[in-house]
Amino acid sequence: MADTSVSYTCPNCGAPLTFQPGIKKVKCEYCDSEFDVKTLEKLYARKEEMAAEARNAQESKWESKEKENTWSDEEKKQLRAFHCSSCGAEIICDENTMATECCYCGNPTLLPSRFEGALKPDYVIPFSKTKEEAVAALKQFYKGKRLLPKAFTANNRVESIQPMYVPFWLFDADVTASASFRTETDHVMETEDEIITETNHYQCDRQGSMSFRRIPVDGSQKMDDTYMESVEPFDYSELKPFSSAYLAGFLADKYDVEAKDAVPRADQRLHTSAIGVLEDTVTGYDRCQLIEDVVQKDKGTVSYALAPVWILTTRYEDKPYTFMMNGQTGKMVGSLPYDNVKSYMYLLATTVILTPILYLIVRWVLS
Amino acid sequence: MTILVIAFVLALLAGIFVRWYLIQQMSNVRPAAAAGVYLKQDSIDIQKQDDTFLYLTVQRVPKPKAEEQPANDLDDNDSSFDFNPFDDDDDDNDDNF
Repeated sequence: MADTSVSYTCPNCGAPLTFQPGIKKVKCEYCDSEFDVKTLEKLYARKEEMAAEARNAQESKWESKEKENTWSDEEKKQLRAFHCSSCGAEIICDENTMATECCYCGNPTLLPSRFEGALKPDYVIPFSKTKEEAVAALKQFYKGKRLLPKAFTANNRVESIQPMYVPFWLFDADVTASASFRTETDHVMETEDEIITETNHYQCDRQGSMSFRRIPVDGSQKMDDTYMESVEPFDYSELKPFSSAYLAGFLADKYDVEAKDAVPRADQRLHTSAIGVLEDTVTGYDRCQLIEDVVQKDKGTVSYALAPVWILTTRYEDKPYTFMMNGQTGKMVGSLPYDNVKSYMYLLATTVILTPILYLIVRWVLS
Repeated sequence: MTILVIAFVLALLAGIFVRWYLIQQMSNVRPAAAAGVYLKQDSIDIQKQDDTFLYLTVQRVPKPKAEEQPANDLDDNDSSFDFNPFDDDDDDNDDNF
C-alpha cells in the first residue's frame, strides 16, 4: 500500500531535507547536497500524487444507507492519523495540518492530501529568516523595555520555536469611494476690545476610484488575527507560485476560515483606507469631519497563500508568552510582562522631578 | 500655594503619561485598521472634488481689561478671571449669515 505522507529525503544519502531560508534552496544537512525547489518539485510530484490518492482511497467508503455511512469517533481519529514514510510510525495531527514532523524520527513530513486540488495554495512566501535570527530578534525585542521585570530576562528561556506557514487569503479589489466631509476654517481678528473669530463652514464632496492588491486576512482560526495583522506587511515581490518543496522542514496548516468569512475584515480595512485617500484630498481647512461615505467594490478577487511566521513561546511566572516574527521581513511582535512597582516608580520620579520645574514655569507665565 | 498645586497636578499628569507610554512600549500587538500598504498608488483617480460654502459664524470674545486682572495678584487667587465669553446677550456674538 502506498504511503499517505511524503518525506523529502536526499536522493544522494536518504537523509531528511529541509528548505534553508538563508540560501533559498533545499539542503541535506548530512551530505551538504543542495537542490533547487523546481528539481525537488519534479522529483516528488508523482510521489505526492500517489500519497494523496492513497489517502483518498483510505477515506472513501462503500455506498450504503446514510446512517451507516457516517464516520464513527474511531474512524474520525483514523482520518487524522498518517504514517511516517520514513519510520512508519503513526503521526496524529489535526485536520488542518499540511506539513509537520514525525514525533518519533523527527523527519519532516508532508501530507499531500491537504494541499491537493481545490486546497492547493496559489502562492507561498518562502522563509527568509532562520531560527537563529528569530532568537536574536527576540533578544533585540527585549531591549529598551524599561518596565521589563529583571527576572524575565534573567531566567528567560525560549520554550519552543516553531516555523509555521500560516494560511492567508489575499484580496484584490478595485473600488469606487464617495464621501462628504464638513470642514471649517477660522479667521481671527482683534480689535481693541474683543477677539473676533469668523468661521467659514463648507461641505466637501469627493469621489474617486482606486485599486488594492493582496490585502491579507488570516485564514487560520488557530492563529490570533491581531498578531497576524501585527506581523504585516509581507514583501510580495518574493511571492512564489506554490510548491510543496518550500514546506520541507516547516510546519504548515491549511485554511480553516473560509474566504467568504474573511471578506468582512478585508472590506473593513479597504473601506478605512479608501475614505482616508479621499480625506487626504480635502486640504486648506482647519478642521475636517466625515459626514457620510460609500465604498463600492467594482471588482474583487481572492487568492490563497501561505506566509512564513516564526512562533516563539516563553514562560514567566507560569504564564506563557507568545511572540511571532514575520519569517520574511523579521518583524517581531509580542506582549511582554511589566513590573507594576517599576511603573509606579517612574510615575513618582516624573512627578517629583517636574513639580519644582513646573512651579517655576507656571510662576513665570503668570507673573 | 495655588501655583504649587497647579505645578503638582501638571507634573502628576506628566507622570501618568510617562507610565502609560512605558506600558504601551511593552506590546506592539495591534490590529491593522487600514490597508494603505496594499494600495496601488498609481491607481488613484479622483473624479469629483466639490467644495461648497455653507455659512459663516462669528464669535466675539471680549478682551480682559487690565483692572479686572492685576498681574501681581495671581498668587493669591483673589481676582479670579470671571467672565464667560459665551454668556453675552449681544446678538452679534454668534451670528449666522
